[in-house]
Amino acid sequence: MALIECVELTHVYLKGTPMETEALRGITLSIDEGEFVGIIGPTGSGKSTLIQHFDALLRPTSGTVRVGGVDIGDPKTNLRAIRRQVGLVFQYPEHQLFEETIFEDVAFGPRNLGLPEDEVRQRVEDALRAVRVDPEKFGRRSPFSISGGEMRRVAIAGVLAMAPQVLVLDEPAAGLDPQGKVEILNRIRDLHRSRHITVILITHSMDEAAQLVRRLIVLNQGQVAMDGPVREVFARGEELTAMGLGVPAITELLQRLRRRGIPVRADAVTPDEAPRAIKEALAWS
Amino acid sequence: MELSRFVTIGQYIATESPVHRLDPRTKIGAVTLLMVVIFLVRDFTGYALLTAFLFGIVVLSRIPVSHVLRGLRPIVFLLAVTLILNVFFSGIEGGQVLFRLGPLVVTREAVVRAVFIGYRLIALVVATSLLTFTTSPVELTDGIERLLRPFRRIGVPAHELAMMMTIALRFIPTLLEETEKIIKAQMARGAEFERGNVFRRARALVPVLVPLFVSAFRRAEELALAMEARCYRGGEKRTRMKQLRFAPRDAFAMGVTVAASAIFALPFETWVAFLR
Repeated sequence: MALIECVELTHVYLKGTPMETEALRGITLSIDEGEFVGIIGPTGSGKSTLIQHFDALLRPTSGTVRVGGVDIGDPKTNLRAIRRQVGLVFQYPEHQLFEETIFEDVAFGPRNLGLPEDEVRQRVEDALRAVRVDPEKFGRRSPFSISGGEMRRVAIAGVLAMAPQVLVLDEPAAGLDPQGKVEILNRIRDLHRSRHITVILITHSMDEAAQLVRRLIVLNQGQVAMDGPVREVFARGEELTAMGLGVPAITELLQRLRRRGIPVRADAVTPDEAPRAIKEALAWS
Repeated sequence: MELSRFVTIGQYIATESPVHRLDPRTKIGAVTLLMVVIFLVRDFTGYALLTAFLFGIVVLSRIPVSHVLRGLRPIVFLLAVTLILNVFFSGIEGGQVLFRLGPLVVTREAVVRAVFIGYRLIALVVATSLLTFTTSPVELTDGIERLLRPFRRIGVPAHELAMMMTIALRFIPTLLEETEKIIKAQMARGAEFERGNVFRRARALVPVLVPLFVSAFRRAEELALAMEARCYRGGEKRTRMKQLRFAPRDAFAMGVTVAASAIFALPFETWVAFLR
């Protein structure tokens, strides 16, 4: 059974006011347990609006959204149960830190779940370790005294500590330096592999998408423009460019080589695959 | 959760109407005059005419009536308290008794006065929100700065005041958006804002207020830096891109407002006597 299911989901902001805007227009998709899905789309395509439905922070204007089989549009639905299942990491999550110590901040979520204190402690330590922040060393420090990349990881730990089955992240690597980016993305990949949680990742970087996810959903103007395996989506480079998106740098390179008459396979999307494609084309192997 | 649905004050709605095109000074002047008039009107005829006048402006401005009325939502509570206090505790001695409720006496005069006061509050909010709906924040502060200029001699920092207002108005929607985002992020971590007693609810706001202050200070620093990087320095000899200029339509609008104000403010009987 699909873990998250949207049928003809439409969302209109500020309905009935002069500022009314239609953010989502008839989105139908389903995401299964254990998937690692990327969502890409130009600015204003509705990505953030869509994922807020997954955590029942927004309700559909029309259409339905089911999370774990539960309809979030139903007024009787227990929203807390859904939010326990789905962990949503907003853009720049470090802007939501507020406690005096890192430990307390990460403990905010588990305490809201009403867990006993020793379990809270266990969860906080696990979550901090999962993002490679040493709870012994950092636990008692102020979240405002550490670097931006560390703050980002602490904030993500704050969501992980709630032990969600689905982790939804809105551009988790935005605004970090290259090393911080790699660090965050590797942690997310680890979580997917070791804890088998479903991950949904919004990104603006085609390279990130190519290296991390298996399935890619492309949103454009509030509608699903494409939905399929990464390779298939990136094979439609021209359509993506027309939307203001692109293909991974390596795919671009191979496509250019082809245009120059070198018969490489142009479906490689990560740097690891590229050398083989080139060697094959040059008959070196 | 859409905060901007509830907070309509300070919102500018670009519907391009004759009201939008007026000089901001005209609109500020007219609204100030209307605010005085709202308190001078003493009879039902005056209020009926004033209502019709305000309604006329709303129609002319092409702002949906429903949106103007939505701006009243924040004052509903204030309105209710005002009405109740004025009806039951008017302190009016004598008068025609409508009914008694224990020790409380409700007179006809008290009810009339309560309705007037309530009406004044509504009219004030409608008139002022019409100003902000039809005037962009930049125009508005330009107008205020220009109107305050004569007072600079006595030490009123006109430009600085206007700049502060511009910045404040500019950041209302930004901070609302930010608040909404933080609330959602904390809700995603299981926070609840509508449960428990007053103290619990107040405590529940800490996870929202702390990040909000942090971000407000961050924004302030960034803005100050950006202004300095553009060599911003106070009001001395600054020129502006958009010069304010009175047009014939401004004279017309002001004339109509003054005439209308005179009609509303004077009691009906005076007019009847005068016309005879």
